[in-house]
Amino acid sequence: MTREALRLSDVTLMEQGTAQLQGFNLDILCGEIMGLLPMNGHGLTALIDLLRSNLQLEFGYVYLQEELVNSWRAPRAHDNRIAVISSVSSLVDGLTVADNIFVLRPGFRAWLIRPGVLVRQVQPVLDALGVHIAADAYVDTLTVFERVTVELVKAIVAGCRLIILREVGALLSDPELARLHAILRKYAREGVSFLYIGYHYEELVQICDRTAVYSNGRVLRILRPQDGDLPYEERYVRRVCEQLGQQEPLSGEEPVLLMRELCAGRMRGLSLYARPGDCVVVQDLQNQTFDDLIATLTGERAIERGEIRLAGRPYSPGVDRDIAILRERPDESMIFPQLSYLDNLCMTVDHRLPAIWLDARMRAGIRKEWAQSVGDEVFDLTPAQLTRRQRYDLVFQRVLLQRPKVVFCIQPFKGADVRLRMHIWELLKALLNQGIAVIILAVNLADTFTLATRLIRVEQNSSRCYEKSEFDQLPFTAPWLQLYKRSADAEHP
Amino acid sequence: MNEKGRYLVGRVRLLALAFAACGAVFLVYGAADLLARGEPLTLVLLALAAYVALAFTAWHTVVRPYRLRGRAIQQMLRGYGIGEAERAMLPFDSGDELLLRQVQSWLDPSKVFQLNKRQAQYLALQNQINPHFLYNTLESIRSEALLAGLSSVADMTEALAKFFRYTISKVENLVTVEEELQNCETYYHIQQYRFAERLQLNIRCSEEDRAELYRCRLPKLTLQPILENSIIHGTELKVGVGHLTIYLQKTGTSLIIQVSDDGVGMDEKTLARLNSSLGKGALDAQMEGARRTGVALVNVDNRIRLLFGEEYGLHVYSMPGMGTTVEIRLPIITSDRDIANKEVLG
Repeated sequence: MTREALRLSDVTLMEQGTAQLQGFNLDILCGEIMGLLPMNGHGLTALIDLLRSNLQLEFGYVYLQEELVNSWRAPRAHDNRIAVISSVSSLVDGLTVADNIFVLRPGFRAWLIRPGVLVRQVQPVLDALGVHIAADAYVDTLTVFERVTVELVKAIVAGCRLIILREVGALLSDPELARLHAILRKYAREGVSFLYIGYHYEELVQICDRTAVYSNGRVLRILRPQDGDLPYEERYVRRVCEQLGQQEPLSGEEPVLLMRELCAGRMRGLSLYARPGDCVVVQDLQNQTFDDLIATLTGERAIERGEIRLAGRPYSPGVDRDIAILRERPDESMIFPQLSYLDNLCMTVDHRLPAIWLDARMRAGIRKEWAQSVGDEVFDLTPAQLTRRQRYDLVFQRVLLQRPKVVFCIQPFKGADVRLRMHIWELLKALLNQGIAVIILAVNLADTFTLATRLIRVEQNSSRCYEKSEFDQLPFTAPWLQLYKRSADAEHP
Repeated sequence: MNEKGRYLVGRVRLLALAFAACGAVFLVYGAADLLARGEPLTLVLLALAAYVALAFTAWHTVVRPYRLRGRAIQQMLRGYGIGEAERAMLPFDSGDELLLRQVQSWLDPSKVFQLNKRQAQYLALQNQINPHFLYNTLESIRSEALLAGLSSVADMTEALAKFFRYTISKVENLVTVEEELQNCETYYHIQQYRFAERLQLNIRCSEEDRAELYRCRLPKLTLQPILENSIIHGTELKVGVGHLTIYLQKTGTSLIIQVSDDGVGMDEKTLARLNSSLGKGALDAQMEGARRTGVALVNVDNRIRLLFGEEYGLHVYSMPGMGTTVEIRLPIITSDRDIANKEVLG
């Protein structure tokens, strides 16, 4: 007999008159890793809030460890013992790992805290997981993987029998993800259950016993690994295969961007080049050099050694419209909510049209031109009224209007649901088709690999470059690698 | 507490009478005071007129509609159509208005007629079929087929007789999972004459729990209608072999049975509509189910919910091209004594 760790039965949850969850059904068994693949993110945050805080239900029942904890008839005000691990840390900076795990635990009642005892208690737990984290280390100094591991241990120590992992795959590199999966399996064997939310089915299928496909506040289907690929993925695979057939590196042209032995902060000896229309994926296996690279480009950090050449001339860090940077989740981080759609669009076009902010007719002309592709109605909306997809469109249109030579994209697919991923993929493709070199900074290859002309893997002070022709011989597993191998086999039977 | 005080409206009446009495006292006292001070009589008469007008308005806008409402409800409870009276029924608030509309839709003569018609058809069919006559006839066909050396016809007839014997008798009973599975296998056996190798049925469960699972009880004809649905709407429309799986699982509190097919599946809108028709009020769902989604799933779901409570029932999962799974959730019951709503069984 198997016990159920969580069961949501026919749950309907309304927020401000909008149904966030509608007839939502899900059950997770004890010791099970249940995947959740959102086709779109509608109601996802509400679902997590509901699991943690027992919100008032319109209809339905929530059971935890087979006990009714929330019902539409009699809502309960207490929180559930469910931990959420996501891109936002729940650890308190300035405290040690042991303090975070033990002292901040609910129900900790000691009057005197003896750090030595805490460290002695927590160190064996960390060692047993095969991670080398000092129990007395301050959490500010931890890497993302270490932070996730400490949060996991903290949840277990606090007595959580269900842990929600929200899109951790986008935070960790492939080897780190493999280590995290091993830890999850270990805890799952001990009876802890996980709800593993991720936007990549190929990632979920590696770790999850079952995967729930989620859309518009409902579970559409529960898939087991043997059920095969999603039809949505098939469509995506077809587009990727077309891409493999289309994209040919332009070998004759001069590189538009050249980085040679670049050192700054924790970035040591990064070399790369990109020609117009190239897509270079830089994968940081340690997940610690991107901040330094972006800081170097923006001039916030000085170059210690090496050089950057842009279109054949030395690049002086600072504001340069020939380089555009698309930050993580640009729909949130790169849109000015108090400005209009048009003002957001024209934000970085001043180098091409210096009178843009003085001449209303010029802006009206831009509106007229872009209305043909995005529709006129979006210009009358405030950024807050735009859909997520429209906000992504806005940011990418701004870049197209800016016409940089090189675009740096930091984790472009992070936080995007399955449908949005396919759209972002098309938007990146549009940049490449305009002859713009795209440098994708990623910790996890996933979708980025499908656009790559070149792959740079950065690991412990060294980097290795793989051209597209070598992708079928890469010495590691990656999503979509099979397609490259299949494509190579077709060319050389 | 006296009989009138049991109802909220009795208390409201009492309160209203108290206010009216207070108003009358104040009015009399005020009139007396005004007359004593030598004020003109017209002012007193005006106040009196206002009081009477107020009472008259209250009678027409509150008391009368309320009495009409009471009468309409009484008529409805006696089994008469509420007809004209329903127009006089003023709702208390928006929730009450919704409730009234729902009741009116239930009592919609065309719907009631449709339901009666279906019940009449069912009774007519039941009267026509004398089970023993049917079994004997099928047995005769089987004997004839065996004598003629038509073993496949004999097999098919035997399976059909077995299926009818199980299906027709005592539908209101609870049966064991094992009996339901046997009936599913019989049904599958009959369908195999039509689909041959194009249809495959697989029944899976944990070996450890098998004996316990098979002893659990569930309403009769829970699985077969769902299996039939999977064949008709799922695998029949699919090109190639259709796989049907019945997966049984037991948790601490529930018996979960999943009937899956790898057929054509359904889109998100159809799925949402189907799931929303499950778990609704019995009559409403029957009406909607008959119109939109076929009565089988709604019927099974209603029987489960009426017997065991609204936290049990059916839920459907499906995606286009990925097949459909109907999940049935039931309480773990091994005896009829454990049923929450035994009186529903009749």
